[in-house]
Amino acid sequence: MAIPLEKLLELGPDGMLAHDEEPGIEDLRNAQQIYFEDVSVGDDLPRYVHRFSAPELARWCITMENTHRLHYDIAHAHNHDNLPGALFHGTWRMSIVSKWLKNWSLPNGWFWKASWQVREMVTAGETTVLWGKVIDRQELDDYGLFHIEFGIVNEEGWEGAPGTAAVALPYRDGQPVPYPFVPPEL
Amino acid sequence: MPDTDELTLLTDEVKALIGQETELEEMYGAVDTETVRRYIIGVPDQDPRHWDEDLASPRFGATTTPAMMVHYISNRKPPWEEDNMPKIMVDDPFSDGGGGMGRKESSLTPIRDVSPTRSHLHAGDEVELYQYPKIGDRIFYKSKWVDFQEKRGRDGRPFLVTVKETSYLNQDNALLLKVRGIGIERP
Repeated sequence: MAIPLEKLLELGPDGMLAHDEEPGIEDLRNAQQIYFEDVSVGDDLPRYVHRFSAPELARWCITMENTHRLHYDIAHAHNHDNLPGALFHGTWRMSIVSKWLKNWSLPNGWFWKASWQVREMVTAGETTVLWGKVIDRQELDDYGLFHIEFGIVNEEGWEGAPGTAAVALPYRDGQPVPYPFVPPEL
Repeated sequence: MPDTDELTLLTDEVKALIGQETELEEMYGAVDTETVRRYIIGVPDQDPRHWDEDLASPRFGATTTPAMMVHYISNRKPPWEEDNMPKIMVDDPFSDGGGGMGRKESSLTPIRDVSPTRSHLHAGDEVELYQYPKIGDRIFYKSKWVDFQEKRGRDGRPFLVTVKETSYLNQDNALLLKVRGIGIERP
């Protein structure tokens, strides 16, 4: 059973990193389906704990051809934009949240939608925890739908990206969630 | 420039942009393995379904891609579009990105054309995912300015909250992804 989030934050940055639950390549290849019946309101999703470095921020800039200098030009970030350092990208946050929810639903579920705000800045070198909790579940005809509250909290305990998401999981005796995904009428 | 008490960013020209929509535009090039590889490593999202056809095809009909990839690549700069970065940086050495690497032709009117802002922050997103693109797919997209609101920060300086919605489709007109991006534009 995963350590409670508030206890995790008490461990300090290095201690927190030891609790990263992100699956590796072979874990994903052999992903064991979580079914609707397996998940209850209040359950935690696996937590991804990372410390994103300046070279990783630069790698994301290169990946998406992003020349915005507040992600790599620390002098500009400090002196021109009054920021505490090179900033973690909003676009990268979008990709990491999507990966996390997709991974949770593999192999036959579907990450449908999410929304979040950027509330606190994350700078290179901070340790962050991507966390989530099931806040509601709906039994639909073809699959079950989970509503999830999530966020990205840093080592100081600041919540930087509060959001909500919806993920579809199959029933134990049912079919895979339809692909392409057909959204339910809620 | 007026002082911060008088400065208004939400001008009539800005308000007039609400509802402005692009035509359906086609991404330069097609979805290819090299672009997918770059995003697999960049996120990183090393799900073998992104490269192992035997694993991915039974469910998805082909290999998959990182979920948000089409959002980042669709408006990539085509090779024929003039490079304005040197001029932008000479004119304003403190420009936040030299105009970026995005496509300028046929895009929405930039806020900076109608309001005295020059710095952008990403404030949030709403995304809806329907299916992944396949290798070789052509991607089409259209964007719309949805809303602008002026607010003031703790320092009294005004900023604009911008909302832009973009839908991404494949060559069969099937919806892949919808993204509503919320930004902050500051003077």
